[in-house]
Amino acid sequence: MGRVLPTEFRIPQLNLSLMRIDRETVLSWFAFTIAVHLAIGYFLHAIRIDNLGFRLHVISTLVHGLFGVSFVLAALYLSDPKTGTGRLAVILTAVVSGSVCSNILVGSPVVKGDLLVGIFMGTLVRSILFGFAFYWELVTIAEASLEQERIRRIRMNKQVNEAQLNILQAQIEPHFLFNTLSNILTLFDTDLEKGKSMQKDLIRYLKASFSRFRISTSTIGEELALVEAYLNIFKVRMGDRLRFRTEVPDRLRNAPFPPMLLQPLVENAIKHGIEPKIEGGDILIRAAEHGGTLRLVVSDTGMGIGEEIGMNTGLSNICERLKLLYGDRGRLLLEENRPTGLVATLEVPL
Amino acid sequence: MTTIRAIIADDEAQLRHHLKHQLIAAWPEIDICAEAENGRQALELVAAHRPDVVFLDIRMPGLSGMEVARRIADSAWIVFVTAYDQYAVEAFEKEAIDYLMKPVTPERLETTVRRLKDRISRPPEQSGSIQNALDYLAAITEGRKGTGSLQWIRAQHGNDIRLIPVEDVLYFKAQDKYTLVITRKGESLIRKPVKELGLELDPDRFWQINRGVIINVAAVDTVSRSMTGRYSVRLKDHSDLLLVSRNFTHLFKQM
Repeated sequence: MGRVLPTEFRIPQLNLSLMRIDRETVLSWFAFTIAVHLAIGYFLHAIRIDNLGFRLHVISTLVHGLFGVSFVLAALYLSDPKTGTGRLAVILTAVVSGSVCSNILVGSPVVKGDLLVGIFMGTLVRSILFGFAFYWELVTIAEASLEQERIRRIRMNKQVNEAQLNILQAQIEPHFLFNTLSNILTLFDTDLEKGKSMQKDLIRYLKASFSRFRISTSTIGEELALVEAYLNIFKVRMGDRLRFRTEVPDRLRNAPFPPMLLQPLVENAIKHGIEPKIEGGDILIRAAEHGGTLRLVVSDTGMGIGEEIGMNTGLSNICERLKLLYGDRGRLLLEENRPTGLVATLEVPL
Repeated sequence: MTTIRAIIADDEAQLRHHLKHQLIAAWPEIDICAEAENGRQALELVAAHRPDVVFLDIRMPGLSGMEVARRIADSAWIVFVTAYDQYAVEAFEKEAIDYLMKPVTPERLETTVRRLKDRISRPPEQSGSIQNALDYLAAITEGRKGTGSLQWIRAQHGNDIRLIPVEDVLYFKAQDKYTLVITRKGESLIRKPVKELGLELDPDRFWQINRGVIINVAAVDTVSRSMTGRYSVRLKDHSDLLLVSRNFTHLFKQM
């Protein structure tokens, strides 16, 4: 391999006279070809066509190059202008390795017509192949994103259905319902007016929760009304142990807001925060808007972040729904309140 | 006619009041000597008044009705009062323990009173069955707890304590006695060791890939295999390359 190849050629494009074709020259052309292909591949990768595209390109470059070099070498050894030996090798070189490698052979005494046919055919075949590959990749990418979109939609539907089911179960949770009804029955004997107003709150609450099944958007005002009815019921049941307040500017009450996001937070504050605490506590619901982001804060002074909160699926369902509805622009932040309790902050784009 | 001394324990004042009136109507000899509004108070009042009967709400702050019952079952007859608790009711039925469902109806209360009158002439002997019922319930509650997996990580954030949803975590990494939680937004240190986390996290969503690292499977960008057959994992939006130790390579074999 170390020996100098016997033939000398003129390379017209570069106008180098009598360039010696030895191993180094062939290899440097080869390296050049690979470099160009890699650069194209890297460019494709950089503009994020696909990882796969890059890999395909590298492989095809190596195959091209290897075939190209071996054919060039074969052609140089075999070519004999008088008999036409090695014409096939020259044509194949042109087809497989393309014009870059074939340039080496330009100016060789081997029949020029064959070379041109080879280059033309090669370019044509490779264009077709590349076109197919590119088309196939585009289709795959498009299909993948379509599929992802479909999966996202299905998941979202499932989430919403589950959330609705959970809400329904929580709202007409037998424990809640029977306890509330027991209270109403008692109040009818002892304090009729209070009993009536509690019954109205229960009806308001149940009506609102059932209508949540038919709507996909609500407003902050409507969600607050639902939550207030719920809290009123607990106020009667828990007496002095529960105190609650809402601080929501009037201009935000008509702002659209997804149903069933606020209620579970308030329910969580009651169930895991205030109800298990002997001395009870406060719940404060605040809403504010800042730079296109709506912030709803439910803070309580209840039991706070205990061991069992780690397993709380109700709260993680809210996270999941926020992600589906708003992607990275919506989030639920949970922090410990001072001195005790939990602060839950919902952030959604307005 | 001897008076029967009773205590009512319920955290809701209206319901205590209602039950008291219903009881007095159904059982004139009864003397409601005290009312408790939480589990702890119930224990104290039972110790102070030594009642014959205790009406216990199940869900109460402080101590639950179940826990109170465990401690006083030897000294008094117990009637559970509950709004709805399928498992508890099943357990009580099984062990023939008396219970009342809210709202309490006069007819149902009469049955309870009749049973109590019959039993009270004998010394309390139900403690065994109460313990059985409570053990049964404890087993059920434990079983239900065991099926849930960890959803939130409690982490110190400067002076605040925050809950990080597990799906936001890229990976957990052991660091001395502590664990480093790495998310897209930063890192925080928690006390729970990786070994314990491994047991509590959902095994479908979190994989331990070596002794000190648990990754969020959803955050995996690429898995690569070296010439020597070792796997390594690169996560989305993160530069660290995490090595998979040989004991855990089976997780990636089918991929």
